[in-house]
Amino acid sequence: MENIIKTEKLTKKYKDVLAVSEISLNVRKGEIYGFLGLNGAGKTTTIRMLLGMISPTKGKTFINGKEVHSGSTDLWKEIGYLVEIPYSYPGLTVRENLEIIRQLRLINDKNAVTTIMDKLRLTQYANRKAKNLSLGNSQRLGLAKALIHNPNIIILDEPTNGLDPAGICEIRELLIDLAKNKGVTIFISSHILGEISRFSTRIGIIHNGKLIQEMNTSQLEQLCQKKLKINTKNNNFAKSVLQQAGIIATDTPDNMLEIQNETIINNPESIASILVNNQISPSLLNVVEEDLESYFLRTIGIKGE
Amino acid sequence: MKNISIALWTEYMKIRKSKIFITTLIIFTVIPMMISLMMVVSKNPEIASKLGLIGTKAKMFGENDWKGYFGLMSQLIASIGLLGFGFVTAWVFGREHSERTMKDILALPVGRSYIVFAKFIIIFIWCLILTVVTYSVGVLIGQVIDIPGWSPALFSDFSKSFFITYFLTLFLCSPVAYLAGYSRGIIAPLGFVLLTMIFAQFVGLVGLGPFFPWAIPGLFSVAKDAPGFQLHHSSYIILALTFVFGYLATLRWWQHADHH
Repeated sequence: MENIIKTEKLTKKYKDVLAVSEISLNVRKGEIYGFLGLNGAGKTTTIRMLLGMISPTKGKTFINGKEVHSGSTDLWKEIGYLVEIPYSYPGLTVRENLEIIRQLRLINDKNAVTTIMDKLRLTQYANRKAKNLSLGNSQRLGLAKALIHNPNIIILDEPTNGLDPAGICEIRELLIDLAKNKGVTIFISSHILGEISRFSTRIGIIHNGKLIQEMNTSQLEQLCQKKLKINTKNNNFAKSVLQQAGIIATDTPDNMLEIQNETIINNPESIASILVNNQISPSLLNVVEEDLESYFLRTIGIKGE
Repeated sequence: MKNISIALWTEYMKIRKSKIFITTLIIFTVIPMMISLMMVVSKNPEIASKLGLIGTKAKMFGENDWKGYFGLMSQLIASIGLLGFGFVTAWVFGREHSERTMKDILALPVGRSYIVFAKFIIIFIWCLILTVVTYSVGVLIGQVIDIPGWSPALFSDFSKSFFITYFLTLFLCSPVAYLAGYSRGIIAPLGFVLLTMIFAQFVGLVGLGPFFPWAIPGLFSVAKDAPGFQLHHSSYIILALTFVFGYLATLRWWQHADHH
């Protein structure tokens, strides 16, 4: 499949600080690539290099097969972007701010502003000055500026910041629709795995400037660890009984026991039998699946060092 | 050409509704009114003696006629122009940083060089409007308060000198534009403008004014024949080179600097 966004050993160094280190990634046509990392991991620096706002210290970026340079202009016709918190000219209205972008994007369709305001539910704020918008509506205006020209490639940096749950859902649906039905390629960064996993087709995890893992979203569930949690009236006794049976149980911070053995997790009845046979009645015997955030933190904790 | 006209239109949109534009218009209207007021005071010694400090200041005309009045007006556009035009430049370029809108105009089909060019054109037009306002208000009020000694030749000389001073002062805006980008804001370029104004006074005192770009418009507007104040051809070349270097530095910064 055609690579729309491609980086080769992309590196950015500021004096002694290595902000981004040799990131090589490919985003294919129609893919929603989730770029995940904690604050300060290097997401925004990478995105700014993709957009030619920052020159890489080393490495190259290609969009649609063309190398990105700071002076590129043709490339940007097909790209919509939003970097960090969107700001607009505060003294101008929503419509005027969008009109400026329409002109600078060389869009001939004079209805483009009205259309995008409708799509992002900004019509009622059309004549409101940007400085008087709520954070969520400022974010919508930022997205409207990114999408006004119906781009084939969208690069978004934390686009749901400041949006309420309904707004997040709405933007998610919009992006999924663009990718699925219009073949738009989307590169989206976030620090929330739970959010990004809902609509990304592939996820890359960046930590301390390095791309430490790439995976398909379908693989994600398999990668999340499962644990069997046990609670009894006497956990120390239960632990020793299980140990005698050759099963290792460890203490949890909430004073329970947990077992990570996959065979036992798939057959928790065997544990129940061992405990009951030793006159221990379990008050809790539950298979708990690691949530996405725990998986993310575990991944950067292990692989990010 | 289309890119330039679009960039110009968008820059016009940005200043059209700004309070800064109106504020500068008001300031450049009030200043000649104050000079006219001083002329009234100067023409009427009985008012001058009652006003104390203002009375002393009002003696700055030399002669209380159109020649003295026009002389002060020309000096005004050199000194207030340096400050005012510097402020306009700092605002037009620096606002993209202070309002954090810079990133919206970096990856667009209309290139950054067009945007920089359009910003300079808008600054020239804006400053021309301020100059025309000061000139018109000054001349109009001068007529109203009936200053003696008017002559068409004097008026013609003044008009030429006034607008050439505007033009020379404009040449000094490009380093300010560069500093607005380099410092990513408005404060540093404004500080630079003030510093150059102060420095120009010292440089003028030691007779190097004709070779210091920020002193040249001021020298042009005052007694051009006084020793140490005479401008040379090299003075105009220095001024033009200052603009060219400032423009190229601004362009290079917009094209190649890291934009965070």
